[in-house]
Amino acid sequence: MEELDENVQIFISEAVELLEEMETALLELENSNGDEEILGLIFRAAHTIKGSAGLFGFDHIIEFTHVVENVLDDMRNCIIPISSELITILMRSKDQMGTLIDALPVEDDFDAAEEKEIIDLLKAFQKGGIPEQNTGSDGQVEAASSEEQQTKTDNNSTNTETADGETAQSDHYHISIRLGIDTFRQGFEPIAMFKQLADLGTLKEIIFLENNIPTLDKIDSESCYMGWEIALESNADKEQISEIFEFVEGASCNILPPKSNFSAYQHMIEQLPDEDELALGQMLIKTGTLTEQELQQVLNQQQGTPELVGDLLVENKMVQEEVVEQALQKQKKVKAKKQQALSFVKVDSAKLDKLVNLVGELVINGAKMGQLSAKFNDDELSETMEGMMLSLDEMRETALGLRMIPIGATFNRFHRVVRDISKDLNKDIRLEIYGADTELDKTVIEKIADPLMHLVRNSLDHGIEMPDDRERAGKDREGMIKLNAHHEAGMIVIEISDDGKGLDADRLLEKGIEKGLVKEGQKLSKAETFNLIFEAGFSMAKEISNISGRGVGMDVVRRNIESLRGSINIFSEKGSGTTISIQLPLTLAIIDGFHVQVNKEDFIIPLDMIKECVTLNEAQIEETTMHDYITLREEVLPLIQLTNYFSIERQEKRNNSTAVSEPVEGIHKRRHENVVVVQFGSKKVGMTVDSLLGETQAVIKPMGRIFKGLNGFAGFTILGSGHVALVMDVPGLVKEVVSTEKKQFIQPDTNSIQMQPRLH
Amino acid sequence: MKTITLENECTIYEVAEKHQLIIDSWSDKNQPLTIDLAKVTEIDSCFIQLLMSCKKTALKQKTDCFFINSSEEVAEKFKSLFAAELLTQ
Repeated sequence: MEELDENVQIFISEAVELLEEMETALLELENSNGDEEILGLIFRAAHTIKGSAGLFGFDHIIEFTHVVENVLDDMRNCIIPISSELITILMRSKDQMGTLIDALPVEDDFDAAEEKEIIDLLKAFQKGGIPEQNTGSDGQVEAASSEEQQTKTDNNSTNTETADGETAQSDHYHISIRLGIDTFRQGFEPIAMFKQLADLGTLKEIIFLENNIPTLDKIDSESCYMGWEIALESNADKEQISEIFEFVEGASCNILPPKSNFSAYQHMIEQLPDEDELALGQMLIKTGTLTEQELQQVLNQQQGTPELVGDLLVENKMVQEEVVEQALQKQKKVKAKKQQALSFVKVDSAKLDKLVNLVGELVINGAKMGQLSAKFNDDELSETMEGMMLSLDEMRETALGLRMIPIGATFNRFHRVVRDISKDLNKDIRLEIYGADTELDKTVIEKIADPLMHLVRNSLDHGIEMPDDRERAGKDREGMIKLNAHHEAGMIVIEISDDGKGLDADRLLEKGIEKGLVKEGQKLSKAETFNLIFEAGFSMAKEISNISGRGVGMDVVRRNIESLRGSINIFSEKGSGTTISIQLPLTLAIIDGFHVQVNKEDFIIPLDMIKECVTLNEAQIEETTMHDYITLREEVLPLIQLTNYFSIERQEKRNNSTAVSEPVEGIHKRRHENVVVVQFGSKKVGMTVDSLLGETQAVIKPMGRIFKGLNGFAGFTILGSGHVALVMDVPGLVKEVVSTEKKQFIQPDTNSIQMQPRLH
Repeated sequence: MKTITLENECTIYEVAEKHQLIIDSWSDKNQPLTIDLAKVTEIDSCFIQLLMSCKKTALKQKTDCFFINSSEEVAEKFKSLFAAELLTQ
C-alpha cells in the first residue's frame, strides 16, 4: 500500500508540473498565433496526464482529460481555430484538471457544475470547428456523386469560412502518406490501401513520391521508402479515412479535410520529413488541393507578411527559404528541449536540506581545524589545511547553489494572473519579465510568491487605469507591468513596476491622518508617506473589488518580507507609475561573516553588509565620547556603541539629557578603537567594536523560542573555537538607528531616545 | 548495353538476391542497363521499389535504365501504385 502511495505522489507531482507547463504554453500560444511546437507541448502534457492517470485507474481524470485532449488534437490539426475564448476555456480545463489532481486519492471531490460547463463549452468548440461532421455521414462507404458533394460543400462553405477565416477552395481531402521503413517486412502491401481508399470515394489525383527511394548502392531492398500525395473526393469523415492507415505501422500520415484552414497546410508542410519539404508546395498544386495563389498565401502566412504573387522563379526561391528556415527553427527547438530534459535530476528536497546541513557542520569543523593547524605552525599542515578550506568553500557554495532556483517559474505564473485579471477589469495590460534567470533560495522563492501575487494584483487593480483614462492622460492604451529581478550586493532585488497612475501622496497623507497613523501637522517625507500603505488596515481603494482593496494585505506583505530578513520600499510618481522594490537575502542558511569581539563576546556581522572597517584616531575617539556619531570623510556616520547597546559586562550610567551614553573613562579608549561600517539600503551605520578577528563562514542557526522577541540578532552560530557567536541583524539595527534619529528630530526634548539594553 | 532478364516471381523474397545480381551485372557504370520483364509472373511493391532504385541510380550515373517487354502483371502493379509513368519513362 505504501508503495502505491509513493507512486501516486510521483504522479501528482508530475501532473502538477505538466499543468504548469501547460498553462505557460497556453499563454504563449495566444501570443504566438498558434505555434506548432507549443500546441504540441500542450497536447503532450494533457496526453501524458491522461496516460499516467490510466495507470492508476483514476477514471474521472481520464474522462475529463480525454475531452480536453480531443479538442487539443483538433487544434493541432487546425480543425478548430485558436481563439482567445478557446484558450480561456482551456485554461479553465487546466484548472479543473488541477482540482481533480489535488483532490487525489479521492476522485469525487470537485465542482461538478464547473466541469460540466467546461465540457459543454469544449464540445461546442469542437462542433463549431468541423462542419463536415455535423452533417453526419452515417459511416456508409459510398462515394457520393460529385453533384451531391458539391451541394454539401456549398452548404458548409459559409460555416467554414466564418469559423476558420482563410480556407482553401479545394473540395477534396488531401492525404499525405509516407510508409514506415518496415512496411514491406511486415507483409503490408500498399496496393491494398488504395483499394480501401477507393471504396471511400474517388481518388482524384495521386502522386507517387520516388524522391526518397535511394540508389542501388544505398538501398536496403527490403525496406520501404514509398510515399504518396493523394487527393480524395469523399463523403466519409476523417476518422474513417484515418482508420485505413492505422494498420500501416510506422507510417506517417496527414489527412486534411476539404476546405481546410490555410494554417493546416502550413502545418503539414512543417511536419514533413526533410527530403520532401521543397517539393511539397508544388505537390499540393499538382493534386489540385491548393491553387498556386493559395499556396502563396499559405506560405505568406508563415511569414506573416502578405506579398503579391511574384513570378514563378521568385516564388520557387521563396518556398525554399521559408521551408529551410522553418526546418532549422524546428530543429533548434527540439535540440534545446532535449538538452533541458537531460540536464535535470529530481531529488527529494529533504535530502538536499540534509546535505546543506552536513556541509554546514563541515564548515564549522573546518574552521576549527584551521585554528588548530594555525597553532601547530607546521608548514605542511597549513598547506593541506589551506587546500581543504578552498575545497570546502567551493563545496559550500555548490551545496547552497543546489537550493538555488531561478525565479523565472514564479514570474511566469503571473502571465496567467495578468491575463485573467485584465480581462475581468476590461483593461489592456501587458506583463514584461526581466531577470527570470536570477537565482535565489527555494525557500525564499516559495515564501515570496504570495506577497508578489498581492503586489501584482494591486498594480493591476489600482495602479493601471482603464484604457480610456490612459488615452486621455496621453499614454498608451495598453498598460504595462514589469517584473524585474537582479542581484545587488549579496541581496536579490525584485521590482514590481507599473506605468499606471501612481500614488497620490496628498490623499495618502489625508488617509493616514484619518486613520490616526499620522498626527495632524506632522511632516512626512515622500518615502514615509508612501510607506503608509504598508500600515495595517490602510486601503486606498474607494471601492472594494474582488481583486484587492480590502486593506488587508500590504501590511502582511511587509511582514512576510521582513520575516525573510528582507525589506520593501515603494517609489511612485503621480501620473506615471509605481515601483515596489523588495530586497531579500539570497539564502537563509550560511553566510560569509565577519568575526568581531566586544568585551570578549563574539559577534558575527554578515560580510555582505560591511562597507569598511575603520581604526579611529585620537580625535575621533574623543568625538565618540561626545555623541553617537563620528565624521567620516566629511560625512556624518551614526554610531552604535555595541558595548552600550547590548549592555555588555556592566550597566553604565547614562546622561539622559544629552542622549549620549558615557562609558567609564579610561576604558573607552581601548574599546572604541575600531568601527565597522555597515550599509543597509542607502543607510550607513558604524559599530564600535574591540577587535576585528577576520572573515569566517557562519552557519546560521535560529534562536531558541525564548529569544524570539529579541531584536538585533538574526540567529547564532558556532565558531571554530566552539564558542557561540551571535549573528547581527544589520537591517534591524540600521532601521532602529534610523528611527531613533527620526524621533530625535521630531521630538528633540524628550528623554526617550536613549538606547535600550537588549540582552536583559 | 547490358541486359538483365528477370523471370518468374519477383517479390520481397527474391529482392535481396536480385538486388545483388543487378549490382554485379551493372559493373560498367557508364553503360545503360536494360531489364527485360517479359517473363515476370508475379511482382510486388517491394520489388517495384528496387526497379525504381535502378532508374534513380541510372539518373545519378548520367546513363539510362530501360524496362522492356513488361508483362501484364508488371504493368498492372505499377499502375496500382500510381507509378505507371515510371515504367514507361
